[in-house]
Amino acid sequence: MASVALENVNKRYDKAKELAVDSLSLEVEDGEFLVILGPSGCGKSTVLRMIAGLETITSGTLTIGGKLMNNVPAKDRNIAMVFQSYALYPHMTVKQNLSFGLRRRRIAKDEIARRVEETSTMLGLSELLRRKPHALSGGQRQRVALGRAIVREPEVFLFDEPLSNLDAALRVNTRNELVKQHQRLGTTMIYVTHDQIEAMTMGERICIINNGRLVQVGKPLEVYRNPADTFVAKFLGNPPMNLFSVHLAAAGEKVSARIGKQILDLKWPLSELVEHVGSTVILGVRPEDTSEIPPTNKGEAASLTGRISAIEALGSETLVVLDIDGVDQAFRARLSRYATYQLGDKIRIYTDVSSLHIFDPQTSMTILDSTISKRATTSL
Amino acid sequence: MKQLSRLSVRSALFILLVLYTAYAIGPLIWLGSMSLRTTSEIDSSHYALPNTFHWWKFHEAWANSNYNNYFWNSVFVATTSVLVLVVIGAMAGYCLARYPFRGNRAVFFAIFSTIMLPPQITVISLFQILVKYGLFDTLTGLTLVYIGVQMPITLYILEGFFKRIPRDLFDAAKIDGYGDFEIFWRIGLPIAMPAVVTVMILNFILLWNEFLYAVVLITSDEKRTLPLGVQKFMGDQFSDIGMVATGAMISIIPVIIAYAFFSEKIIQGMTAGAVK
Amino acid sequence: MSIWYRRESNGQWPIIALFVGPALLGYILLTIYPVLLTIYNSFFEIRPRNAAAFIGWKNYAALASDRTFWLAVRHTLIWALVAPVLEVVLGLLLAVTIYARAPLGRFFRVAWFSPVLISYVVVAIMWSWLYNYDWGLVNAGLRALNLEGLQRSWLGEPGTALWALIVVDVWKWTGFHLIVCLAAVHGLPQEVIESAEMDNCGWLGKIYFIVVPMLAPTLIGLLVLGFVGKMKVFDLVWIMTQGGPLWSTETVSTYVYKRAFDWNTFDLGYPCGIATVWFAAILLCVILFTTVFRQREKLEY
Repeated sequence: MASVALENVNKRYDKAKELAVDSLSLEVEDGEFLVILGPSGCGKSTVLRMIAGLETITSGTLTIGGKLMNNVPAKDRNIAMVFQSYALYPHMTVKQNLSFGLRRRRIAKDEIARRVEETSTMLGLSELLRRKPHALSGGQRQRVALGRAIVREPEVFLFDEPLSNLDAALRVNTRNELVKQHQRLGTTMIYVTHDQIEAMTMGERICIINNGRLVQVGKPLEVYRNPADTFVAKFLGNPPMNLFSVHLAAAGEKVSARIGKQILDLKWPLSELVEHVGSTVILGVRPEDTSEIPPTNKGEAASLTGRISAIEALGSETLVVLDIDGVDQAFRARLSRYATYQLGDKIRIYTDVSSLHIFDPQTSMTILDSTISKRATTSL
Repeated sequence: MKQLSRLSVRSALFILLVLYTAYAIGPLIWLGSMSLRTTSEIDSSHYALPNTFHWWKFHEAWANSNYNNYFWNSVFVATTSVLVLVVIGAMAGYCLARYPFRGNRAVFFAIFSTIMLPPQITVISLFQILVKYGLFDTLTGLTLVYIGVQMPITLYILEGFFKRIPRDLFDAAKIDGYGDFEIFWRIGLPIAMPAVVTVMILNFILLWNEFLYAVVLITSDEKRTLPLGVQKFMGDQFSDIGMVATGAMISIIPVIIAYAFFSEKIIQGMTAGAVK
Repeated sequence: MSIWYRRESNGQWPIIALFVGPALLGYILLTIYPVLLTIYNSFFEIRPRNAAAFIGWKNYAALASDRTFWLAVRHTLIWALVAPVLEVVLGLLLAVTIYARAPLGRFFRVAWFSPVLISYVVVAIMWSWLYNYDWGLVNAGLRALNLEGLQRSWLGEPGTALWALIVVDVWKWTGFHLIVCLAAVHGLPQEVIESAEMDNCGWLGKIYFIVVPMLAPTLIGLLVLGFVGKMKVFDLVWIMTQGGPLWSTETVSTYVYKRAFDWNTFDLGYPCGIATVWFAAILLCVILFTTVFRQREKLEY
C-alpha cells in the first residue's frame, strides 16, 4: 500500500503543440479511493497511464510510496491496472490470466495457487477457471480483469473506465462490488471515468480534469455543492446547472441581479460583492434547487417567471424547460411530480438564495463560495 | 414460368462452372492418372484412366532416378528458409507494428517495396556474391537467397497482423511485470499464431516451387531441388512420359497434402497482398 | 533531487535493434547490396578470370540497338497487358457466378485455386503435353470437332507460341483473381445489390453497373499486381520454349538469363545492363500507376 503524488507533471506527445497534461499536481493518500473525472480527451487516461508507467512523463515528478518513479519501468512498479477493454490474454485460460503476473514475480507455486483460489472464489470465478476469455460474458470478463489485478496484491490499483463496456444493470452491481473490494483491501485506488454517477457514488474524493488541467479536487458532495468554475458546475449534476449572465446591482445593503426585465433579489450583503456590483456575472442555478411552490421562509427565496416550452414528466419528478425573457438559453427546472402544467403556461419558480452560484465571466471561476452565501442566509 | 426460367439460368450457370472446373483441375487429374500408368500404356491411349495402378513407378522414380535426393534437398531448403524467415520476420514485424520509433515506416516500406523487384536485378549479383564466398552451388547459399526473397511478404503479413492486436494487451503484460522480449514471446507470438502458420505454409509452397534462383545458383545434380530435378528428368527422359509424370507428381504431392489440410489458410495467405 | 526524463523511444533502441536488426541485415545483404552491385556492374564488361573493364554507357548503347532485346520487351509487354486483363475479367465473372449461390461453392473455390499452387515446372510439362502435335488434347479436340485444318504445333510455330504460353498463364492465375474478387464481392453491401434487383437490373447489368464500379479499387489493384508480376515472367517460358521458336517467345527475363548464364558470351555486365533498364521500367510503371490511381481516387471522394 502506498500514497501516490504527482507534482507539476506535464505531458507532451511527440510533435503535439499542446500539452496533454498541464502542470498537474495531485496527492492520493494511502488507502484512498480517488476518482479522476473528466470528459473524453481531457487527459485523464494519460494521467493514469503515466502513473502506470505506460507513458513517459515529460516533466515533473511522480512518487509512489515516497519513492521517485519517473524512470522506473512499468514492470517494476508494484501496481495493477484494469483496462477499459479488459485486455485479457486471449490465448490463456482464466486461471492462466490470473496467475500470469504472479509467475513473473517469482512467487512460490503454492502461494500463487492459494491467491488464485482465494480471488476466484471471492469473485465467483471458480467455475470458469478453465475457460478462455472468448467463452465468457462481458460481466465475467470484467471480473477476470478485476481478479487479475487483485491477485497481484499491488500497492496501487488503477482503473481505466472499467465499467463502460457493461450494460446499465451490471454497472450498478459492479460499482457496489468495487466499493466493497476497496473497503476489504484498503489499497489505494485511482479510478478514471467520464461518468459523473460513478464518480459521485464511488470516490472518496474526486478530481476533475479539463483540457489537461486539474480543475478541482474534493469530496464528491463538496465538489457538487461548491463547483470551482463553470466547467465543474455544468459537468457535475444532471440535468446540468443553468448558467446565464446577469447584471448585479445594489439594492440598499443587499445585492440584486437583473435578468432581462426581471429583478432577482439575491439578499446577499453588499460588502461581499462590492467589486462586482454594476458588472455582469454568471449566475448558476441547479435545476434540482428550483421549485414551483413558494418556500415557507420567504426571506431566503428568490423567484423568476418564465414560459414553459417543454415538459418531461418522469413520474418521480417533472422536468420543465422555461423560456425567460431576456435570457437566450433555456432554463431547466426540476419540479415536483405533482406539478401539472401545460406547454405555454407562464409560471413562477422559486429557489433558495443560498443555493445560487456566481461565477466570474472572464475567468469562469466561482466568485461566491458557500461560506459567504451561508453567512448571507444566516444573517437574515 | 418465371421460376422455370430462373431454374434454367441456374442450371446453365452450373454447367458453366463444372466446365471451368474441368478446365482448372482436369490437367492435374490427367497428370495424376499418367503417373500411375506405364509409358507404353499411355502411348496406346493418352487419356485413359489407369486400369492397374502401377505404384511401383513412384518407388522407381524415388530410388533410381534420384528423386529422393531432390526431394530431401527441397525439404531442407524450404523448411530451413521457412523457419528462419518466420523467426526473423515475426520479430521485425512485431517491432515495426508496436514501437513507433523514428524511421519505423521508412524501414517497413523499404523492405516491403522490394516485393515488386524483378528477380533479374538481384540474381546475377547474387550469383557473383555466392561464388565469391564459396556458397555457389550449395544448399546453404540457396537457403540464404530464399530468405532474402521471401522477407518482404513475410514482414508484410506479420506486421499487418501484429498491428491489429489491441495495445492494451501489451500494456497489461507490461504491468504484469514482463519485459519487451518476454511480451513478444508470451503474448505477441502466441496471439499471432494464425498469421505465423499462414506465413509458414505460404513461404513453404512458394519456395518448394521456386525455379529461377535455383536454376541459376545450383548446378550439380546431387544439390538439385525438385523443380530442377523434374526439369532435368524431362530433358533427359523426354519420351518416357509415364516416368516424367510420376516425378512431377512426387514434386506436387506435398503441396497437395498441405492444400488439403490448410486450403483456407493458403488461400488467405496467397491473396493477403491483393485484398484491400 | 535531479531527474532525467526519458524521451519516448530512448532506451528502446537496443530492443528495437535486436528485433529489426536481423531482418534489416538480411535485407541489406541479400537485396540492397545485390541491386546496387547489378547497377554498378552494368557499366563494366565482366569476363571470368579477367579484371572487370569499365566501359561506361557502352552496354546501354548496345542495348538500344539490340533487336533481340526489343523483341523481348515487346513480348513481355504483350504478356503483361493481355494476361492480367483476361485473368481479372474471367475471375470476376466466375466470382459473381459463385456469389449467385451456385451449389458446391466451397468445392469450386478450392478446385479453382489449385493451379496457383502447382509449380511452373509441372505446369509447363503438363501443358507441353496438352499442346503436343500428335496426341495433345488441343489437337485431339480439334480433330474430334472435324477441324483438322486448325491443328498445328502450338508451341512450335512463331505465330502461336506466345499466345499458347499466355493461355497457360491464364489457366494458372485465374483462380487467384477469382478468390480475391469473390472476397471483394462478399464485402459489398448487400442492400446495394438487392436494390439493383428491385430496379429490375439484369444479371449482366448488375455486374456492369454495380459490381465493377464498386470493386474498381480491387480490380485496379489486381491489374497492377498482375502487370508487375508478368513483367518478370520467366519460368514458364524457359521450361516450355526457352524463348523459341525464332525468338517468338523471348521475354526480358529469359533474355537476361540467356545472356548471363546460357550463352557462351561469359559477360555479366551486359545482362546487368538489361536488368537495370528493366528494373527502372517496372519502377516507373509502379510509380505511374500509383500516382494516376491515387489522383483518380482523390477526384472520386
